[in-house]
Amino acid sequence: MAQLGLFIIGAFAALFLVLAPPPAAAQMKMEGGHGAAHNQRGKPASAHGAHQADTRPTKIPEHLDVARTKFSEQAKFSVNVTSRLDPVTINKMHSWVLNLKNPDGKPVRDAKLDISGGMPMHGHGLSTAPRVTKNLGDGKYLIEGVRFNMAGWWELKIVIDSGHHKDNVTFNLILK
Amino acid sequence: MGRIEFAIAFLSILIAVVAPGPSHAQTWTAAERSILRSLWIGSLPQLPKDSSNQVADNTEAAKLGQKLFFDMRFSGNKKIACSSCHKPEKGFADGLPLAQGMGAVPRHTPTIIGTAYSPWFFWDGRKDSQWSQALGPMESPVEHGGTRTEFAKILYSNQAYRKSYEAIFDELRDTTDESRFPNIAAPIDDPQSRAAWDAMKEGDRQIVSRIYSNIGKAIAAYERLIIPGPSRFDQYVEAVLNGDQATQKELFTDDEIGGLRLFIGKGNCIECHNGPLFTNNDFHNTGLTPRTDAPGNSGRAAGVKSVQADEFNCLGPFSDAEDADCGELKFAKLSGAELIGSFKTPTLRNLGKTAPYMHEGQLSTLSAVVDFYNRAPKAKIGRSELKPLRLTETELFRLKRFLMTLDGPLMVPQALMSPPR
Ligand code: HEC
Ligand code: HEC
Ligand SMILES: [Cu+2]
Repeated sequence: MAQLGLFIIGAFAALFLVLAPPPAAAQMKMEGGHGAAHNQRGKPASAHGAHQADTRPTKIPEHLDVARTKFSEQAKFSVNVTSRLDPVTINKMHSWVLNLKNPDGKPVRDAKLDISGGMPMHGHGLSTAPRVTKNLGDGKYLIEGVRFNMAGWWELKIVIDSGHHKDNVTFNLILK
Repeated sequence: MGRIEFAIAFLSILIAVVAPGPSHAQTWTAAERSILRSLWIGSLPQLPKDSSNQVADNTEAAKLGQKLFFDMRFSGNKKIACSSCHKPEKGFADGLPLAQGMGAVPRHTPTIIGTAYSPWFFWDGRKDSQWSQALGPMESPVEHGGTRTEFAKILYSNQAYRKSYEAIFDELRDTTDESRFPNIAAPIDDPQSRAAWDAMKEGDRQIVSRIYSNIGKAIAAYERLIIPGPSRFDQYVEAVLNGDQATQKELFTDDEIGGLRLFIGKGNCIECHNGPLFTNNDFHNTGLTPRTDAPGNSGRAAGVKSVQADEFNCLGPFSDAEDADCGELKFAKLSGAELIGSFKTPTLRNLGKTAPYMHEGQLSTLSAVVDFYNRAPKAKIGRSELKPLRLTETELFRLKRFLMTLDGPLMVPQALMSPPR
C-alpha cells in the first residue's frame, strides 16, 4: 500500500515536472554562453517603448556554423583562421593567423584583408580594431589586436581583396 | 481549478515539504558553476606586468609612491593629495557624487582598487597606464592644481624625497634655477603656466617631464598593490565548487542566491561585469542622463582621441615599453557609434563602500541602480546598449541583496592603508 502511494506521488511529481519546469532549470540552458539569458531581450521593439525597431536575432541559431575553415561567400577563396590564444577567452588581447587559398588550394599571397565583426544579438561591433600587421608568406597573414569583451556569439568578418577577386567571409565564435 | 490541477498542486506542495536534500535554489549546473568560478576572486591572475613602467614592481618605488599618494604638498593649495579623494577608509573613493579638489570636478571618483588589471583609466579611458593616469589629477586645476615644475622643485628641495628618488631612478636634476625652471610651468590650459612652459628650452622641458613621469611611475608602483580580497560571495563560490552544501547555506540566503541567478541570467549583468573584478574594463553606453552638457559627455569617443595624442602614453618618449607591448593602444577602436556616450565599466567589488554610483554619481543607492537597469531609459547621448529587464520588485530586491555580498577586506597590508612612517 505504502509503495503504491509512493508510486502515485512519483507519477504526479513527474507530471508536474513536465508541465511546470522549475524556473532555474529553464533559465540556464547555457550551450551558447549567455544565449538563453538573451531570449528575454528580444521582444518586439514595440514592447520596449522608447527603443527603436530591433531586427537583432534573439538567440543563437540552432545549427550555427562555427567552422574555422570555409569558402568565402562567392567561393572565390578558401579561408582558415586560427587563434593564437586557444581556447579564445574574453578580455585578452591576442592575434589570429589567417590562411588564404584559392578554391584549388593554392596560396593567395599579398591580398588585402579588412577585419570587422561584432555581436549580432547585441548590435555592437568588435571592441578593438584588429588589422593585418604582417604578411607571413605563403598565403598566411597575421591579424593582431583582437580582444573580445563579453561571452556569447561573436562574428569575425573579413573582406578579402586579392587584386583579382573580392569576396567576404564570416566566422562565428561562441565564447564562454 | 480542476481536479487534476488541484491534485498536482497538492502533491507538489507535499513533495516540496517532504523532499529530502538541498533546496532547489542551492543547485548549480556545471555551466553555471563555471560562470561562478570565472567571477570568483580565486580566478584573479597574478598582477599583470606593466611594461611601460620599469619600476612597477620595485618595492622602493612603491614606498616612494605611497608617500606621494598621501602627501598634500603636491598641490596648488598644499591641501590636496590623491588620498583626499581616494580615501582608504572609503574603498579608495570619496563618498561624494562629484569629486571636490581645488575646485569642483565634473566627475564622480571611482575606486582605485584592482585598477592595475585595467588597460584603460578614467571613465572615458583617456589614459593607458596607472602612471600616466596619476599625472592627470596633479595638473588638473580642479584637483591638485599644481604644475610639473613645482613638483620637480618640491622633490629636489626635500632630502628624503631626493634620496629615495635617486635610489630608484637616476640623479635628480637640479631645477632650482628660476631663469631656466619657472616656479609654475606646464603644458596645460592655464595660460600663465602654458606661457611659462613654452618659454622654457626644449631640453629643460624634457628634464622636468622626465621627473614628472617618474613621480607617476612611483605612485603606480604603490597603487598596483591595492587589490581586493575575498568577499562573502567568494566564500560562497568556494563552497559551491567544493560541493559543500552546509557552508553554502550558511553563507548565502535564498534572496542572495536568487540575485546571483539574475546577475548571471536574465539580468544580463555579466555581459559587461564579467571576470573576478566584475568588469571587462571596456566602454559601454548605459544611457545615464548627464548632469550637464559638458563636452566630456561623449565619453570614450573623446577619451580614445586624448590617449592617442598623450605624450605620456605607452608609445610615447616617457614610456619604458617596446612597441609590441602597446597592443591596447595600437589596436584601440577609434571610431564607431558604440563609443559615443560610453564609459568604463566599473568593478562591482566593495559597492557598499563606494556609493554613490556612476560617472557623475547620478545614482545614490543600489536600489536606484537596479531600478535604473530595470527601466533602461533611452540615451540622451548616443545609443544605450541596455534593454528594459522587466523584473519584479522581488527580483530587484534580490539583485540588490546579491550586489551587497561583494564587499570584502582588501588584500593589502595594513601598512599600505595610510601614509608611510
Ligand atoms: C579631487 C579629487 C581627486 C584627486 C585629488 C585625485 N583623484 Fe583620482 N579620480 C578622481 C576622479 C573624479 C576620477 C574620475 C575622473 C574622470 O574619469 O574623468 C579619478 C580617477 C582616478 C583613477 C582611474 C580609475 C579607473 O578605474 O579608471 C585612478 C587610478 C586615480 N584616479 C588615481 C589617482 C591618483 C594616483 C591621484 C593622485 C596623483 C588621484 N587619483 C587624485 C578624483 C580625484
Ligand atoms: C552593457 C554593459 C553593462 C551591463 C549589461 C550592465 N552594466 Fe552595470 N555598468 C556598466 C557601465 C558602463 C557602468 C558605468 C556607467 C556610467 O557611469 O556611465 C556600470 C555601472 C554599474 C554600477 C555602478 C558602479 C559604480 O561604482 O559606480 C553598478 C552597481 C552596476 N553597473 C550594476 C549592474 C547590474 C546589477 C547589472 C545587471 C542588471 C548591470 N550593471 C549591467 C556596464 C554594464
Ligand atoms: Cu555584447
